[in-house]
Amino acid sequence: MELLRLEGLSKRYIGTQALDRVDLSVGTGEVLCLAGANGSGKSTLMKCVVGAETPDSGRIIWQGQSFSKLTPAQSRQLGIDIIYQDLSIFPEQTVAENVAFHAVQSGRRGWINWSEVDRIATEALDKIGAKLPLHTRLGDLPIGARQTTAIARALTGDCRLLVMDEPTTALPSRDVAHLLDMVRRLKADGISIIFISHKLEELFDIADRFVILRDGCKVAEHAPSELTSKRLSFLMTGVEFDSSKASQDLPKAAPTILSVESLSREKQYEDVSFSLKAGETIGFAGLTGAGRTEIALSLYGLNPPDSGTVTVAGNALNARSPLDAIRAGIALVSEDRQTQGLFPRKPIKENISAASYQARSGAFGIIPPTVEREIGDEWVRRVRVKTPSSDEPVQTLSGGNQQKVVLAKCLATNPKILIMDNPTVGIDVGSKAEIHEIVRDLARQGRGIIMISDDLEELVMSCHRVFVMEAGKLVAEFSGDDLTTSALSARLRSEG
Amino acid sequence: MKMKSNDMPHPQTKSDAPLPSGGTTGMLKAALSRLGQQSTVSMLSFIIVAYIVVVALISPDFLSWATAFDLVRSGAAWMIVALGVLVVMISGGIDVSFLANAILSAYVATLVTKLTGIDSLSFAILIAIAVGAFVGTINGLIIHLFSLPTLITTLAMQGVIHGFLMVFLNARPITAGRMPSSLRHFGTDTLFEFPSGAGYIGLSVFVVPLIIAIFTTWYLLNRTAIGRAIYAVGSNKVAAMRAGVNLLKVNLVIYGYAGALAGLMGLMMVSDVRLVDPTTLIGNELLVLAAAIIGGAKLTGGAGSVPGVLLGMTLVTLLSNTLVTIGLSASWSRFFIGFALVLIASISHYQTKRRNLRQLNFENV
Repeated sequence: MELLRLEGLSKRYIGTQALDRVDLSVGTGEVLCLAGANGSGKSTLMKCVVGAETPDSGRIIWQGQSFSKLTPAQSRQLGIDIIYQDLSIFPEQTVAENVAFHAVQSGRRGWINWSEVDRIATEALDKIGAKLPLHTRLGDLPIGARQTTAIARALTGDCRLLVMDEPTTALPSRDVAHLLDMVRRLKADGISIIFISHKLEELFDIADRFVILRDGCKVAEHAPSELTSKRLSFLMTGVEFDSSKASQDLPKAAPTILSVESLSREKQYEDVSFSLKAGETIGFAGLTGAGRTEIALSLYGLNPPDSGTVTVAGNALNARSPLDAIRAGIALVSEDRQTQGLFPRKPIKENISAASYQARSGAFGIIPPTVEREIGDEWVRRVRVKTPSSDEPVQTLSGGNQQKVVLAKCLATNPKILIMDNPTVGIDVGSKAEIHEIVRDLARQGRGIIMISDDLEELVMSCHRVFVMEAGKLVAEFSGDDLTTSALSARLRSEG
Repeated sequence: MKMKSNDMPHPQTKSDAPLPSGGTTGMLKAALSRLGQQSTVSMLSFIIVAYIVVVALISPDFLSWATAFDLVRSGAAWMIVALGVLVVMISGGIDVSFLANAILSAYVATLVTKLTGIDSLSFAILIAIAVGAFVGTINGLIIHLFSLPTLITTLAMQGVIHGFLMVFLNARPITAGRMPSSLRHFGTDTLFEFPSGAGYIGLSVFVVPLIIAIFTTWYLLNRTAIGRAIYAVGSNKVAAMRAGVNLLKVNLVIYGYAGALAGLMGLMMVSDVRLVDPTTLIGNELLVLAAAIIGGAKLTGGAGSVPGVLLGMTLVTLLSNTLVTIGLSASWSRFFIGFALVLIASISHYQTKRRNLRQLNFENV
């Protein structure tokens, strides 16, 4: 049975046609996956559905009732809710209050009964089979718990259609499986889901139907059985991608540029040893919390180890701060680019040159005025950032291009060793392929690359060797013909 | 493919809730990091008790009903205005116009009482609260309509009120003799008295408006939907808007309520000192803001509680009024208040930092 139908929805922003006569329909209890590159109009379309944006033209038909636009309150009353990518939660408040917030605010009585709040929260969490400490400040809980809270909140009303905008992007891998379980559970309860994600693997896992957007237009609609992930990538971008393995042409005589000997840090990782050659790319697979990010941060001087040695190009390195690491030639592309890698409101050129001022400054630490532009323009060209000028603020770029800026900032310091923590999270397939190409180029230039990723295909494509980490230890190493996504996923699954 | 042993116990991962790592220190650490708001309240109670003990040891006369009643009388008005500031700070805003608002409200209330000849305390209180709420509502309206930073709006409002009092009223004080008798009595009346030493001591009637203000603020913040919306706006404004919170209504309630409490405070102050002087009060705003922050309110919003701000104001009142008792000049009070502010802000910041580091979050490091 049809629940929601969109007819000819259009939306124009200054300069761009964000949506161009998009038609779409969602049935009761259906999981509709909305796929498309960054900027293809997925988010705008969903904002029109939940009333956060007003379409210029077109109709929104909900159970036969026709609207030209909706307000947020109206759409919630109809039974439409959305889990925003930023989750839209209240970090200072407790779990219970977050879950019951809509119920409390829309209640006819102006006053609150706190045991009622707890009851509403427990009931909503039960619906998705989740258990959370009700009276803990939500900001103190990990991201997975925050997302569960946001989902539970959407279920406190009479929710019939739930929109999930990139719900798995910021989620550790083990929480993703849990989230997909929740989605299946909701579907079984007759709730319809519109699911937006860049992770094709999980889309195929849960989709009943795919709708693909490109540049604001609907380009295709398919059942999952009619698609392969290669075909889906093509529909989203209009480009064919080469997903072959990294070149295995590592010179035999390549010097070792990094060696790590029995590195340990209490409660994080234990007795970790590995080495990295010039021109080599090594990968780390494992669950979040297995110690991968922790080691990366230790090498970068942010999370000093308790014991063990790190040797960079023959010299012992005892990095107590990022500056030590940068001086030794180590650069880090951190997982969360918004808070840890970028100055979103600053121009691209300032972002790119931010880490290399010190090396380029003249007498008395004065930076020549042209340096910023030189560095900025050079790297915009080299990593192919799509922008009219390096004067544009970074926040105007798409996620993929923002990540290229982060990469450029690190590369401008001319590092010998580049550590990348989930470098393509939340980035569409097109930009992802470009970043992989850049990484391969860097390796060919003789740099050593350490890549931490939850995307096994990415690891297999980019790395010469991949370590599996589990509970703070390196438990397996794959290379050559043994290095396949199926081998990695089998090893990861065996952890349980 | 190499396999290595896997017999190490599973380390604490960043998605696990912080667990006590065992032993009393571990439990203490866990308790400290979990207490949050509670820790501010218990920490403050401890500091206040310790301070009282120290003062009492130096000057045994300090521990008396007379001192307690005197502190209540001189602190009540400040506590009331601090409750208004708390509401503003919970919403993520800041108000520096409240003392200007207080003195304006008191001036208008006194003048109207005199001119109409209605020498009634309830009438004066009503007018003071109405004027205060009106000025506050204008704050809220400006902040909402022009999306202005709250500091700029209220700073401007403070200047406008102060200037208005100076220019149009010539900064002319209303002295005790010309004040309505109901106000003069309000400042000296007591609920009950008992003989002590040479004379009588008694509990000021100021406790009545204080208790009403405490209860009202607590009820507003903890038992009403709009109160929780105020917390929500301070915690995450975008999320509150998406959740359908009516920001205009919230802003009007916040600033109107804070203004009403300021008006009440102003009337209490002039009744206490028996002088309506438009040049007083202004300049002490930071003491009240300090008290709210000491009491656990955050400049970033979303947090703060009534018990916290009451304790914060108690500490500030103690430091302002009792240093003389231990032989220090009153000028030291600002020094100690500043010191307490830095100390308590540092402790709570340190707790947040520890918590963030455990989750490998390098904000605020």
